[in-house]
Amino acid sequence: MAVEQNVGSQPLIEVRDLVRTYGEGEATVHALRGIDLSINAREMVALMGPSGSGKSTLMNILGLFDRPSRGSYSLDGQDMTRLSRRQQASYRGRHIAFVFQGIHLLPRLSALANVELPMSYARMPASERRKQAMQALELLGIAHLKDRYPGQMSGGQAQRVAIARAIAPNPLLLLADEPTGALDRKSGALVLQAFQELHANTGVTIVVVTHDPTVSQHAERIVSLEDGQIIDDCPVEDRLIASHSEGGQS
Amino acid sequence: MNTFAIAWDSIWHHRTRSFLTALGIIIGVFAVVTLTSLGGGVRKYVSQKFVGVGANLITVTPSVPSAHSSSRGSKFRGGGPFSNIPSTLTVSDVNALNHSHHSVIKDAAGMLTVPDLIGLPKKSPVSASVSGTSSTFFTIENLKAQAGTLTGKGVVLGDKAAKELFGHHPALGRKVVIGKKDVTVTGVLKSANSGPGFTPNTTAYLPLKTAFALTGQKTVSEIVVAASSANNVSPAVTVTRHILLNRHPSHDFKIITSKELLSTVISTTRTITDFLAGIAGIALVVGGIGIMNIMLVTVSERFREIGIRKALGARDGDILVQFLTESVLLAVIGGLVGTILAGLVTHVVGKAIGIPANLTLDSVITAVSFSIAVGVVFGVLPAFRAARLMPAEALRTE
Repeated sequence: MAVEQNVGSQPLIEVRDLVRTYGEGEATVHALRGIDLSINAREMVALMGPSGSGKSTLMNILGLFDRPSRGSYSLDGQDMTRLSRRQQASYRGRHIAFVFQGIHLLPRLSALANVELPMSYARMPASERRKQAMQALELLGIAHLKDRYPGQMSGGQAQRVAIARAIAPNPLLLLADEPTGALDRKSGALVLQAFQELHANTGVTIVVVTHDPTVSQHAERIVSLEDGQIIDDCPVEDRLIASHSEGGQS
Repeated sequence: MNTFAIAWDSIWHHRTRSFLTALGIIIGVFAVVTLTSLGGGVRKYVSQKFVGVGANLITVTPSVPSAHSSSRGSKFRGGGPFSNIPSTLTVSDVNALNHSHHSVIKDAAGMLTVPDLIGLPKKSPVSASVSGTSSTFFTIENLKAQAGTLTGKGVVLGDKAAKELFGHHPALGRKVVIGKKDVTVTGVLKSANSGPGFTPNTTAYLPLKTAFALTGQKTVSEIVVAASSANNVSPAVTVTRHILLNRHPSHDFKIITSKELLSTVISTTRTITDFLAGIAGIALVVGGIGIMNIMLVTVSERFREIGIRKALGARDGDILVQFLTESVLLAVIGGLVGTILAGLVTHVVGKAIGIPANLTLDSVITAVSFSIAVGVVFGVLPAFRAARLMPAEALRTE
């Protein structure tokens, strides 16, 4: 599966001084207080932090679901804050994919139809989207589930269909919000394994939002947020050593 | 993605709710289509009856004379349908028309409305009306005798009038009292279709001479002229006007064709039906509001679905079309069910009251296009709300 990639020196995601506030006056909530973040193509990054730390807000902005109050966000060298709603929807459909917390499959569509959905919104010809959908299902080892409905699958299977749906259109960026949040440990492990294999095989850039350390261990780099600011940003190996030494001290 | 399939799936999934929502439209369309179809049936009935009565007839009635000689008419006494307008039409006018030798005029007959009541001797009068006329009139109106003759010196009774007076006993040769005069029954008419202003079944026809004697008048209240065919009505009108103008330079008469009379009746019926259908249309609007209400509920129920679809690249327009399709489909289903019901009821009612009422293609097209319009108008707001939903908000709702 070929992935459009950014081979230049410029990072895929470039976020500068990103601020997001909700409400006005005394009731103003500062969800993000000036985020600077660069993510290169082919990276797999975990965004961590307690609830209310702003990680979901950041993810919504990265996914073009939300606009920053201030600051810049460019994706693949393109300024995302200047796009209209329609352009955002179109860009999202073609280049950004999502795996949500909980199983966000449409219950009344088969697995295959679910996987085809983003490509049909991108107005891709039927034969081509069928081909890409089947490829994605095969990549995740669930081609045999193509005619099943979400109600006829286990949680882990459904989430893998959701991942297949996310990667089928060959996105630039895959955003995952607590992808194992609604799964038991075993299914969760399978899903994480799927992410890693996917990353290894296709080199798609993955950003995972999570508060679960076992999830973040699968990433290459962990960015920690607290109170709307980045408090830590380091590769997983360092982090492992750090937590190891912390463990040793206590 | 098949928008239509998604919409149908959602409607079918909530069958009960969809049915109740569509019920408003069903009732609205049913009412409008039934009323217009029955109205159309009545119009058809009237025109069919009219064909039986004769589309070739022209009626000459007295009228206010033209302004320059308005004082002349006042010397004449007269009766007729417009009893306040004195008639100046005479038997010699009728003869002039009959002897005109114009091929477009077949026959002419004078009519005199006799204001007297008819009854059996020493009994209270019955509800039949009395007219004086000549035997030509029966030819013109295509009336046939079931007993006796139509050219006798006595009275000719309409079918119902004879039954009212004599029951099932033969009427021929019996005496009836008209005003204060005894008249012998010399003929009884076969039952015939009535038309606007023409009720042969409940009328007693006297020879003009007798009628003149009874009323003391010398003028007729109207002249009925038969054109040689329905197609020759307008040349016949021209000829009749020409002949009568020669004899009545003051133009104190009016010429109405049966066609005009019929179109007046038909346009009146149409106005009444349209008015009723308009009132029934209010039900459609109420039905539309019902659709809007349910679609708003549907949108908030499907926040999650909308969010997922948007996250997968659905544009505002895709979502708008999806929800609009659903409301239009709901309205159209309602419209079709309403139309089918209306067809059944129209057929049954039409049969029961004996008018040829059926669904017309027109009314079906109108009903369906109205349903589509209702679906669009009342679906726009909910669909727009769904389309503007931010996916982040939508997905946060768990």
